[in-house]
Amino acid sequence: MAAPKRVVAPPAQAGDAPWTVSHLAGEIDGALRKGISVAVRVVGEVSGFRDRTHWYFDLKDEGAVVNCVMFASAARRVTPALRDGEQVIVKGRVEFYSKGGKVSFILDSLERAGEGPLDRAFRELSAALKAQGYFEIDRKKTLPRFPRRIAVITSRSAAALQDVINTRNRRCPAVELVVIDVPVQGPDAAPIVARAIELVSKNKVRLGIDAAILTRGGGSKEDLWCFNEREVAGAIFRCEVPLVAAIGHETDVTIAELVADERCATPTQAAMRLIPDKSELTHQLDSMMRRLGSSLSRGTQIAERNCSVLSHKLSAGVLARTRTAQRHVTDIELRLERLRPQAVHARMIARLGAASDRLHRAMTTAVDMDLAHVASRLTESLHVAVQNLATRTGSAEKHLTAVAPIRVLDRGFSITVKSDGKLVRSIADVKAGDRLRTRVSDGSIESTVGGSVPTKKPSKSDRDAKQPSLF
Amino acid sequence: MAKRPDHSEKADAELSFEDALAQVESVIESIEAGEIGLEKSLTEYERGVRLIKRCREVLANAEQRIEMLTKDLKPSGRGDSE
Repeated sequence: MAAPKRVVAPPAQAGDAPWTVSHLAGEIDGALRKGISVAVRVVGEVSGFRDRTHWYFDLKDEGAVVNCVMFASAARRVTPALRDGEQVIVKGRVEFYSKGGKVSFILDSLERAGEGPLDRAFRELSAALKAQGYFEIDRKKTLPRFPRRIAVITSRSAAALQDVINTRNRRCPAVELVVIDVPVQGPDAAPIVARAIELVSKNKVRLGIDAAILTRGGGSKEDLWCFNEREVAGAIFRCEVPLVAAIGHETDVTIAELVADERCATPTQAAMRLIPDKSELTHQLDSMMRRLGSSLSRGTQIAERNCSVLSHKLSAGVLARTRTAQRHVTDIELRLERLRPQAVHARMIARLGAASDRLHRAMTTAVDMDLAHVASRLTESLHVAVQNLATRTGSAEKHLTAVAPIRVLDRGFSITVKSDGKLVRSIADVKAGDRLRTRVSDGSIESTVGGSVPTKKPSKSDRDAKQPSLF
Repeated sequence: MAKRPDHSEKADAELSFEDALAQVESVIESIEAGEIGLEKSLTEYERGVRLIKRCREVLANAEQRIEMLTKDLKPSGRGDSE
């Protein structure tokens, strides 16, 4: 930033050529440097804080605002980073930033207002412990629902202890307290408190301790300081017993409380947090007793239902089997019945009856038909036969008339028979002495055979010639 | 010996109040779920009743015991043992 050569207004300025803007800016800067020549300390509230490697924010009070710049080299020394609303005391010099046309307060150092060495120690230790995970919610132990014995780490003469005891007596006298008497302020307090916490942790089994309360009443920042010491924080961090801390008043926050598994505002609250309410527990036991009873009766009901389902299935099965067997028996009975002799007999009779009926019907039908047929045929054939007979009778009569032997006798032929009536046709038919009767046309002649002479064998022609002569 | 859960009366008597409550819970759940037989349910039920009774006794114990430990707390005190 070039310092202007002229530090007073040039007398030749009026009425002459105007200044350039840069010239004016140079004049303003020079005036500022001259007017506020030393580094000043200013107290104010941080507003519009922006971290752009360098820090930019406004410092304000009720009546004014000033732009502040803190270069990275200076800002690095400030932990933790600023936040809007913080009261700070800054030290630096004023410059005119000609490019932006603004007056800037360039800061060399910054401290939080009201922060003494204890505050800084607190801030630095809590930042360091936080970085090491001391305050992580995940590592905090769950408090037991019903601690049998609670270690109370406090001063035996403190009101805090009486608060804890009263709360225990009121809520649940059965919970035992083991008081670890420690100094809660002064230069020796921190190591002894740390040692007490370690003792509780190491002997938790032997002492039967389920939880611990670390407490003290309100006091000045210095009085409470031992609970901000690193060794106490470390002891709490390593403590294997769930630990509740209640240090000072509600507005006081100590590192011990931040590391503890749970923070409470007052000793009474810490005791309440750990000691269950007897009447609540009794209530809980009552409800568990009821649930247990009803679960059993439900179990019984389920068993009963299972039994009845099974017995139903069983009887249904048996019933089905019985029915099948019953059907089987009925079947066999029917078959047997059919085989009984009387039944067979009856059936056969029935069958015979049916058959005979059928036969009868068939016969009746057939006979009816055949008889008609036969009768007509018979009539017809009789008729024919009669006709034939008539015809033949007629011709036989004619023939008979033609060849009647009587007519032959008229022509001189005779017929000789023996006494027994047999016709004599050959000489072989008679022997000497036989009596013969010869019929002629007008009567009979009786004679006796004297002998017989065979006829000479006539030639064929003789016979042919002779034959026709007979007729 | 294998680490089987010991449900004997003696073992139950040594349970902490909290553990006893948890046991009763699991007893109730197992009976409710019907995952155990009826006879087992009965013995479990008896056990649950016993545990609840024990819890009640613990609550009824109104000794208001307070022990004071003041010795051995100086940073140079004796070593502690489990």
